[in-house]
Amino acid sequence: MSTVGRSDAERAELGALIELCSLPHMGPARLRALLSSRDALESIDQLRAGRAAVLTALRSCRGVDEQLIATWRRQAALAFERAAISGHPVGADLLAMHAREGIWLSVPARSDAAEIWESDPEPPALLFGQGVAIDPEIRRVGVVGTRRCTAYGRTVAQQLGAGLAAAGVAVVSGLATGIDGIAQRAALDAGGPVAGVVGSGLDQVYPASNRTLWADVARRGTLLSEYPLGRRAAHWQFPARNRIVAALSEVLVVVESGTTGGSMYTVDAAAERDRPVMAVPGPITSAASAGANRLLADGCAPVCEVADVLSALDAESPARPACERSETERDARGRTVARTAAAVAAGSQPDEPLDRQILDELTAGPRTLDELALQTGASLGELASALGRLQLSGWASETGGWWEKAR
Amino acid sequence: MLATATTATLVGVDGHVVTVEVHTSNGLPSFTIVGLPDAACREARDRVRAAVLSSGLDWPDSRVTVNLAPSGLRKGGAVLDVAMAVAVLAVTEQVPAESLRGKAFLGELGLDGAVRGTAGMLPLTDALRDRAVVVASEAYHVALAANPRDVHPVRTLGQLASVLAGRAPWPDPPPVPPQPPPVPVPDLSDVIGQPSARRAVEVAAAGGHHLLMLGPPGAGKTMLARRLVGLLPELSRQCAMEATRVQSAAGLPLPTGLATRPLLRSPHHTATVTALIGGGTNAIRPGEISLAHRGVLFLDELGEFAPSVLDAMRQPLEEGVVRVSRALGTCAFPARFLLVAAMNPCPCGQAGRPNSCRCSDLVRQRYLRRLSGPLLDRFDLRIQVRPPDPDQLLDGIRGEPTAAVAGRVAAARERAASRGVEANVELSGAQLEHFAPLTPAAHAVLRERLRGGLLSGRGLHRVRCVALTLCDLASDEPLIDAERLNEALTLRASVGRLHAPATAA
Repeated sequence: MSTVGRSDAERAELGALIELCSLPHMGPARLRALLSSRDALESIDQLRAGRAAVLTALRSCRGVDEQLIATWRRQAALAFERAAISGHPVGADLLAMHAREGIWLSVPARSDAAEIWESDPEPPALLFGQGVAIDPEIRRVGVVGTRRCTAYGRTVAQQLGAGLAAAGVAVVSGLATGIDGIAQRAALDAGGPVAGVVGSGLDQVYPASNRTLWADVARRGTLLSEYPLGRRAAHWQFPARNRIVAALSEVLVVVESGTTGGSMYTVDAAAERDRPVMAVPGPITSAASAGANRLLADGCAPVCEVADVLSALDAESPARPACERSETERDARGRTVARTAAAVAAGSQPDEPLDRQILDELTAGPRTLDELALQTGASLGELASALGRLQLSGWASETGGWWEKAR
Repeated sequence: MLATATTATLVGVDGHVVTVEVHTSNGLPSFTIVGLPDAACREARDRVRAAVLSSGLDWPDSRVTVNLAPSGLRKGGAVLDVAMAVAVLAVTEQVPAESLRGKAFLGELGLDGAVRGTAGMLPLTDALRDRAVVVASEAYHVALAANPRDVHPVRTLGQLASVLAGRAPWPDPPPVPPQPPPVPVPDLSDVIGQPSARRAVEVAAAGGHHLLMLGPPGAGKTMLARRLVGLLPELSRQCAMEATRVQSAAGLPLPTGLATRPLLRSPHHTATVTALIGGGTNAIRPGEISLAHRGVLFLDELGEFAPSVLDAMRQPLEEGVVRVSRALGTCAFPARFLLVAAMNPCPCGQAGRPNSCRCSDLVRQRYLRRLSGPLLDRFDLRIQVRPPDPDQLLDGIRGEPTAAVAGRVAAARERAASRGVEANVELSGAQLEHFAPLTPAAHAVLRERLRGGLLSGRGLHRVRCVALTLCDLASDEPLIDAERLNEALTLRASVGRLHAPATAA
């Protein structure tokens, strides 16, 4: 994975590739256009020289204008000048900089995980990584969803993350706010393998609130990006990132999602790659679950517990079970999952009729205290006691005066 | 020739005694005022001279110098007019100089010699309590409220001169003006449904707990705030005196005597720091928080106030007094008020259910970030107010009237008074420990909350305080049990974070 142990020719090619990746506004589609019929070293040389073939290929890309091509040509010429001054091949300084920051480079088609990318319609030309490399032996499940999740989505993402981690399955996600980050945090906390794909350079933490999670994934899992150090987050880089999440996921689970948005892009990308998509059912009144419910209506498999995802994973490749285990162990694990759920439920099973009545009411969506009082006919004091119980036992949660079902 | 008369000037909300010295000497006729008069005070030259002449009295054909002592104190306003005029009359021997002894004169003069009242009559009279104070007839009842040794009302300068010269007795005090018909106080029974909001308003009134209402426009937040004032008990003499002093100093219209009803002040959200806290260039004036002293300060659209304005309120909220320092000097204004605020949870105004409005995360975070955590912490009661249910609106069942709730509030306030405070909100941690012990079950609830990160140390104290008020309202033993705590916790919605702390997975 590192530049050590690569031949000189490989290093020169990698250097040219990283120079190309570092060009401003360079994205996966443009890189593919550049590299479609020539290698990176040729590409950058021809770009500098302004060869017609290269320029025609670039002009065919959306949003590329003459000004951008002029900038690229200038940058390419600079790269050669830098190389000439230092006496090293093109891009050697960039390679050294990434190595200094502890970032490894991987050309997907030539990596250990090449099989993932074999039939991919849009494989990344180069991946920047931190932490451990993707191990093709470890099963991977994508967990994605809306950034603005409800208490329900949060709980489900946590349970899925923890459950998958317990089964030794890697959680792949986009390290975003909301479902993505919550699932990965839960997986990390449960000691499971994780892979996070981000839409900016590995030093450009976005969103900033996920800084700790970002660092933890880099330390204990795999942090991947298509972009070199220093590349800032830009809106078009996130859908591109989502296609990598989809490609890396053997099964994709949508926890909560609106009918449009990044998660739906990931779903489309997964469908394009024949990855099975599963969705977590939610209340039909919840806008946050509208997309997930639509997927179910369209025939996606529902996720009611972690075991559903694991079965789908096994069905995906029966020759390679989710983890090395016998049928009995699996039963045992299956029961463990069931038992934990039961234990959680039994420990705080709302015995009080009012508690159950409130939960029924909350199932339909968030409610205020007044609405609960109106629907249940209970006094504020009784409601307060019941809500206090429900909140402490994790059944319900409150934000800004709105009560939500948390499980 | 020299004569002196006593009067007072207003600094902030306090009167300061001022001695007016008048000296006449030979020379070209002139009239000079020295001793730091402000613009209104300097204009007294023309008013005083015209008033003396219109009253049929003589103005000296000599050099008249008026000195206002102490000379280091800045004198503002027209309230010194009468004192200057009588001192001039004394120096010209139109009234005996002895007749001014033991008296003080407060009032503005009209060009026709009429004596008028000014702002701040109450604190000014208060500063002159050991003298017989001569005031304008119209200000008689306000001045009387300060309980001075004697108050004499006069209508004109001519009348005053005849009394001082011994030609006439003091005029009779004006009759007590007919009490204006009581302003109809909006009744709580107008609030239909909305049990939690009604409860929060009652608890806020009983315990003096600051209240934050979240909800869309039209949910009835302003309506609730107006009814909250009606629930507050009559002010005690001491409190009424404090409140009336500020209102008098600010020139607000006053009732006959002391203002015994708590005031509702609702400044618009464009208010500046100076308007809210106090200050000003010419004189240091009390701000809205002081005008709401012992009353209610209602801030509608809290999120639209400038963050600097809101944060400036933090210290007065804690101390009950605000010290405004300017180059002119420093004033301490009382500012112990009940803060009631209303806001939308997000800027789109739809304020819908979670995840249903169109505001992005960033926009909502930015909106809530305008409210600093320490300010939000001051609100013991935070509730979500939604428009009442249509069925309830139409079925015509009215809620509990103000009178019934006010009775409970008054009883709760009496219990607070027995603990040595005006309201429970003023109780310290140690006092709470003493007055409001927790049951073991309540201990357990709090422990779990604290452990789960659902409650901060500061929040713990506030929740206990609200729970004690709930006990007081129910006229129960002040023993905090789990049910009371839970209700106090429920009336304290989490605001300022997009997500409640994660519950156990």
